[in-house]
Amino acid sequence: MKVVKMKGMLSLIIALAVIIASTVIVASSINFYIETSGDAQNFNQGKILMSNLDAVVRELMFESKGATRDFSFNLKQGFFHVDGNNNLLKLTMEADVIEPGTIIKEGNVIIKRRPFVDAYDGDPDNDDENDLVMENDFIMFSVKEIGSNESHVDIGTKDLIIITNKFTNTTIKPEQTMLIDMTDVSSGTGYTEFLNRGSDLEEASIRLFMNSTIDYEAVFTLKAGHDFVEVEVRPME
Amino acid sequence: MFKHVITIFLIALLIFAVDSFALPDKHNITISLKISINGSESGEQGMRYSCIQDASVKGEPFFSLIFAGTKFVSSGFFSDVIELTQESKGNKFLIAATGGGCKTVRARAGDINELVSDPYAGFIEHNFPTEMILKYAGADIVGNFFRSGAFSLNLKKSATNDMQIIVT
Repeated sequence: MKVVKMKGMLSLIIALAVIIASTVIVASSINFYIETSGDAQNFNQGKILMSNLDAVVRELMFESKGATRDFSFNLKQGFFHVDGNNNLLKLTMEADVIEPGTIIKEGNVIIKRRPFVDAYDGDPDNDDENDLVMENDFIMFSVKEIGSNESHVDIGTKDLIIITNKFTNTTIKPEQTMLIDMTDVSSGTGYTEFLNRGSDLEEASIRLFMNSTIDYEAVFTLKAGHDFVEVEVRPME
Repeated sequence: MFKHVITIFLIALLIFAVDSFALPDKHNITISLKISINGSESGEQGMRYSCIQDASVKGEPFFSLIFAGTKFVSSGFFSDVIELTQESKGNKFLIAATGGGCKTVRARAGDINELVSDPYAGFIEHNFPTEMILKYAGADIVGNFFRSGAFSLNLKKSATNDMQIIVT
């Protein structure tokens, strides 16, 4: 009789444990679903909002001079930017719906999930000399544009690069020394070039070719989400 | 049978000779950076990195040279210079630039390869926002401002310029 009672208690404990465990699992699943659907909801609302705004703008373009329209927003998160300099209207939000580094177009709405790299000619140090610039959301890294594959010119690594740490808005022009087997190869003749350039890239690279005591090339690479630049140095045998 | 053995032996000998006379890929590459941030630099060298920071600047900017190659040789920090040496075969240097001081690098020094292989990873964890953009080639948008929460835009076609849409 006692054994039967014990068995009954044990069954009850097991049943309770199963109920508690499944409740925890269900609760966390629901929580996950709510979080996910919150992002998805904001994302879809954003798309509808921008699509409606686009319709208003396009309608206005065909109206007579002086015509006006009002358009209301109620953003739960994120911000809206009227960017007259680049002729665009932009809604920015935190929404983990599409993969980082993705660009899609829905109607006239371009949807981008950052980060990306831009590689372009610029002059970040305002010295009136062209620089090869690679920039993502975290770093701007530039190398002086010097010579070309057809025309090697004097080149030195000591005033070659500029790095802007965008997290703290700090810019440095490091004096870079290159040694191969303890031989200083910081100066010589050569050139710098982009290995790829453009906007919204996954990564960009700049190549330095140097004829020095030992010839070598150095390739600087910046990837979209990195807060560091990769450097590979290849001595020419 | 004997002919085959001789042939195999000669081929093996040839491979050995080519291997022996090939130039060894054992250069040591050193990169050294002399850095001035804001005049109050300090730094450190770790087993596989060297780092310079300026704690007097908001956000504690740091710049660091980190080993991510095949064979590490040495690292150094000398007042305002960071330096790193590694063997040329499979060499990879990282030049990191972000905030939180050199302790940020120290904390990640053990999983550098993981960081390098993920194109969306950084020394500091970042969120990647989503942007929804409307671009107008046929119109001139006038206005430059940010808004959030509940607000209303007024869009007005210019009274003088047929291409302009003024947004307030």
